[in-house]
Amino acid sequence: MGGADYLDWALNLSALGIYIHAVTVAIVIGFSLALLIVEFVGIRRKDDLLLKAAKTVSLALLIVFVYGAATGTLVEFGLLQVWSGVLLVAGSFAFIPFYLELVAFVLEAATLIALYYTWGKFRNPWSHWLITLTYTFAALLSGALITSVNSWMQAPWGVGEIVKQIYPWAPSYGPLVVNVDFLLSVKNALVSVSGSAGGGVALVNPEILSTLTEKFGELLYDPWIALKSPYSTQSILHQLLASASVGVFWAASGFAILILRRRVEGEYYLKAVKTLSAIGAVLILAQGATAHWMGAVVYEYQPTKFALIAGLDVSKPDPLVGLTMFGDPNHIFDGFDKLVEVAKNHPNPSLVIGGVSVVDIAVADTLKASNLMGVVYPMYMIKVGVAALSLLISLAILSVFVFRRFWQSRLRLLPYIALVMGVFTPLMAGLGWAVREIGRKPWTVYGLVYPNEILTPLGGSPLVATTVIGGLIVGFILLCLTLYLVLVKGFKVGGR
Amino acid sequence: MDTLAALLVLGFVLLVHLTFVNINIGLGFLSVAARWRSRFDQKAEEVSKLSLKFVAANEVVSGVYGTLITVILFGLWTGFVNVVVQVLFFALLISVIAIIVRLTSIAAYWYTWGKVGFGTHIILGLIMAISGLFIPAGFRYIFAYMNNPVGLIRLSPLEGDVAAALLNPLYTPLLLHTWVGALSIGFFAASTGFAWASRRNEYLRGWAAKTALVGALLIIPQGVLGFWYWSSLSEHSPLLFYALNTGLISGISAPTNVSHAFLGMVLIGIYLLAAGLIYYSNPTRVSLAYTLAPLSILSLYFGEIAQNWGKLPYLIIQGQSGLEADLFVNRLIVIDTPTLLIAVVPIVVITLGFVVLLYHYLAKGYMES
Repeated sequence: MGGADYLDWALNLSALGIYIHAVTVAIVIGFSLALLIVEFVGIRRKDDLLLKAAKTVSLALLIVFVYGAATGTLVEFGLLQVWSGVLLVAGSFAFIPFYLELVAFVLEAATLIALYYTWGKFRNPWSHWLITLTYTFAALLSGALITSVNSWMQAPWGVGEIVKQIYPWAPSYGPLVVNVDFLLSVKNALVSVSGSAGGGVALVNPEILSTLTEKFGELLYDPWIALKSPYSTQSILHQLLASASVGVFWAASGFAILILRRRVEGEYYLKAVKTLSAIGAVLILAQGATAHWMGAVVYEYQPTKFALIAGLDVSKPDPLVGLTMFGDPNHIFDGFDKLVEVAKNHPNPSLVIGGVSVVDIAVADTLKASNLMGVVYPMYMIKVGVAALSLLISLAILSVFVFRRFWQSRLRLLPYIALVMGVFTPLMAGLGWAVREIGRKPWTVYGLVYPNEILTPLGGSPLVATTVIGGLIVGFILLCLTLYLVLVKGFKVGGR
Repeated sequence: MDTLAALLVLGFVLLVHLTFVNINIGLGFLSVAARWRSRFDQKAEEVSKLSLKFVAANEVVSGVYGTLITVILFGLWTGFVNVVVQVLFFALLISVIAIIVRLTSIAAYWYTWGKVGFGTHIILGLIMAISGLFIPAGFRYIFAYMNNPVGLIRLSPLEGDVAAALLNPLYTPLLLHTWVGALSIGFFAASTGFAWASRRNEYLRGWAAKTALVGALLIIPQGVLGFWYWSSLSEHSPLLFYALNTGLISGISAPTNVSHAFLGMVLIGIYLLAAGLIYYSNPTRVSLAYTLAPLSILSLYFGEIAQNWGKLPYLIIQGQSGLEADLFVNRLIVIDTPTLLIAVVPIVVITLGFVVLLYHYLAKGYMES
């Protein structure tokens, strides 16, 4: 398999791996939040049906967590084999988030086991709820830390104006806490070998890294920088709410399916659907608010992505966005025409990186980004449309608790509504993530590193890609089968 | 980053991981053996279920620590991970596939209890037990590679022969040594547990004696395989061989002397053989049984310390020298040693609390299916 072909394979493999892993992430985050609230309400109201629903949710969580950990290992090694250059990030900007994630992960695993096996064992039920609270905190912290790493790749906080030196339309990315000589030396080498896939990643080599650190010192002066980024803060809020709403509505959909299968415990399942849908609706409304802040940081730190999602092939006003962001419906947003023009009129045209003029680099990459308009813009528009519908549905769900008489005879509609949201929320989150990832291209680390620069130096192996894809699919099928057997068929030890 | 601190963090996490992995491999087979026995002895079914509960619980701890190891390797030993993953990806794949099969088969074995025929259930149990053996089957390639980097053609630029790496001559004796050792540790751990539980349940005394016997008898092939591995090291990894035998064999020396750990492991092995047989012949000597689990785990620690510490100052041995650990440790950022070590404290505290409570609840029978 040739370099370019393998790069496509690798990108597709990554997308598949991330989406399959995202399913487990959504369940873990959404179910944990749902569990926390349902158990809280159940204890306060002394409602055994809600506590039963909470226990079922915790069982699903346990199964998904175990499979998530197993397939996560496969993704870890698989992606590392394919994208070995990512180790440069893992050993520097991502070090602290990953290290803290260890603590969160251990806490998550320990409290999940504890909370599942201690249902009904405490005299005071709030003791159990405290375990659930700790678990939920750990699960959310875990998600937040991983998102901060992805956010650093979206907006490389801590590199100051380095990106701006290459792309004059770029903003400044926070304080300069990176060793400029080290980074530029790495970038020089990456650009000079960028014609061949995987050439640049030879840098992730003990001898070369050792030489570089001996020559320049450390690469990063502030290991905490990834956690200080405003892009990261907004992303964490946005992603956690998105994942949580997906998970909560999936849990609601699970109970809805059981109602529609005409199981005997109708009241129990309906109560679960009602409570979970209400939690999901609140999350969707909160998500709507954070979407604005997310859009604002994309506008500020990813000019090409903003142009893609706003359909700005040419600079023009967007009345709604202009009004919400600047209070001016006539505000002109920069389109690709302006970005390319700025790149052509580079303030430092004599600068050369890896033997290539920065003007050529800036213009070529800006044009590459603009070529993604046909993919990113429609996806974003569909996402916005689904989000608008979801907001309306969420308001309808919450009205169940306000207009009780109206809904009394119509509650049978609720499972169908939950099922619709069980489809809409992952559609929104999936499209949102696709926009986030594709919109970042042509870079892997925005403005700094291309995908082919971090590809394995040992050449493409379709066998590796196929094995990882196969493993992910098999793992996912096994997860679904286990959830079905345990939750729907009620498999228990000894058949009792 | 301080190399010693990075080594200590990795070493600690590795030892915790290996403790639970080794116990679990043996317990998996014990669960299947007890299940088989339940055809003639109904009470053995409870032994099988109890063993399986511990397998599931231990699997969580070992799984979490396995993840910790990968993250610590990425963060502290960045360059090393690249050199290993690029050359040994297919070897690692064996482990990853085995992990998925193992977890699935534990769930399948657990949830199909009484739902499928006896023969089918035994087959599921065997898949569960055997898949446990294949997890180290992949990871042990890394250890063999560190002792003798077959497949590493050139470090800079990195070039490797993925197929050749699978034919490492140290791999087979190391893996067999690991398997038999793990089975032995698992049975010794069970023996100690059953001996403790037999204070309230007399029936378990017989199981304590039988598992002690199996654990002890496994020491014999373990010694033979250990000798094979030891002699293979003399040919393929002389530096480690010297480190193991400095002061034991005249005329040889290595930068790091781990002969005490090596000798300690051998002596404990001899003790375990004798203690296991004595306890089997007289199961009322419960205090003897209580030494089996901790000492078998101690022998595991001595073995791992001897093998991994003995390489220093190198991380990958090449004949009588090698690639130094300093070369692989992450220096892209500066993390001071106290911070690095203190950061491990919450992980240790959470793990300790979790394991103690887990074992307590399991032993008390609180955690039902």
